[in-house]
Amino acid sequence: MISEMVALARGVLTFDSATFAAHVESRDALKRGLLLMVVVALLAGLFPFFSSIVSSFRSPEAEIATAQREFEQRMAQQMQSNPAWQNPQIRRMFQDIFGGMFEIGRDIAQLKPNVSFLPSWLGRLLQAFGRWLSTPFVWLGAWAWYALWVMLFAKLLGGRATLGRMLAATSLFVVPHVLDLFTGLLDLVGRIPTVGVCFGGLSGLIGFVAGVWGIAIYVKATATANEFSLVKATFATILPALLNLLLVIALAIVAVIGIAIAASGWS
Amino acid sequence: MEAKPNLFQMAFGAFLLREDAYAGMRDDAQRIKRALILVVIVGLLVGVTGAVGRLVEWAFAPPMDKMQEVVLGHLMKMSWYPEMSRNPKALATFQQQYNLGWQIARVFAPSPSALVGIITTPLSLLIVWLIYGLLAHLAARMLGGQGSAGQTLACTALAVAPQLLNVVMILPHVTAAGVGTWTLACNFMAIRSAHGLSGWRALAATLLPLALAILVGVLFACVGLAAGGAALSQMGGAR
Repeated sequence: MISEMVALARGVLTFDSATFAAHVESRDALKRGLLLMVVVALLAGLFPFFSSIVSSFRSPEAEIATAQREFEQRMAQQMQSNPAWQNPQIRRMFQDIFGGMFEIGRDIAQLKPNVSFLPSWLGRLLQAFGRWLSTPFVWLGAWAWYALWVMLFAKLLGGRATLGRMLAATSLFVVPHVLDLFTGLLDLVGRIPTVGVCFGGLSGLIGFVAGVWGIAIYVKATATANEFSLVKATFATILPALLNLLLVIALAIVAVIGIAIAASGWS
Repeated sequence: MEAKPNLFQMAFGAFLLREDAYAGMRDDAQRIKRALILVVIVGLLVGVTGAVGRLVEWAFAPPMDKMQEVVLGHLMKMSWYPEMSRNPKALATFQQQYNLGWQIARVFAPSPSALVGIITTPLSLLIVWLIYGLLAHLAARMLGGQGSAGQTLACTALAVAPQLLNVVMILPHVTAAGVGTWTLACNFMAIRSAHGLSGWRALAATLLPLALAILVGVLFACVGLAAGGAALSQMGGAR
């Protein structure tokens, strides 16, 4: 099973047409695709999960203090460079509100749980574990929703994929996201002061490569499942995102117009 | 002769969008009985596991009433609060809104009342399955479908299979996203298989009940808003 998966991953990463075709034709294609997605998503979230495990054993006060320090540093930089922050009244109001929010967080963290003998670190550990286990589901939800739209456009462009074949084929896009394991690791190393900046950049680059590689695999998988050209597959892959973007822009314009009308009404 | 797949195997096949799983259910002599058992079992599983997960979340969460007190205490220390409290009307409105906000938060926060889900989850799954199945059947027949109501209900019962993903919620703080999308895909397969419709017609028959539900929801929301607005204006008039 593992050797089969490795062979599949290798073929997918090298855009081997025979591998794509064999995967799409296989009865277990969707099962394998889903399994790949679960494994890769869990790997991608592994280092952030380790980091959360460590955090769950630290006192919440220390965690909040660190978050507050980082937040205040970032705000101090903003206040120096952004003219909107030069107004002392706005600054005071802002510090008042956000300082208060950190205080609230600190006091809530000190509250005993509903079942008071339970240790709070165990609650935080369970929370971290839950977040990590939720990663594959988040990926699955986003991928399945997008794949349905791509399939719709593929059909309009003359595609011949069935729903099962389409989902099975496009699930292969996760394979290069194995690299997210390293982005997670580099993000952790990136927290080291001064040196960390270099690793942060590298992590972004690896993430970008994994993303582009994944899109290219998605296009190839769409073409294979629908038995049409790569050009049509590219259109089918991009069109839902493009339409979504246009919709967001249109909604933003409507919202801005609405706010402007409301503001003129108030004044 | 091949052995008949059990319900779990059928649900697994349906989850993986295998046409033979839907065809098997469509042609089963005891399809309605099996469909009913499947929906109830999945509902019970999801209900019990969800309730356990929520209960554990509640056990580790701080009490809501104490959180409400803490937040209010800090808000009262903020510079805008004394200014606002000079105006009794503004203070009353703030308190009303603040309490309402916490009441809404309590609805979504984990609590021991999550145990009710053991009963409400299978019940709601059953009701949604019956209503959706019948509406989808009507839509499919209008679009030229050939299946019977029993066949539609039997096949759409298999679309509860993605709900099994929610079983992971036995672990606290785990969320199973994508269940709705996968259910939609399963319903499409179910209607297509039950009625032998083309892809586009099956898609229309799958979406029509949902469109109708959204329309009814919007209508109810409009009526609710209008009624609320009228009540508020009456209250304002009375003052």
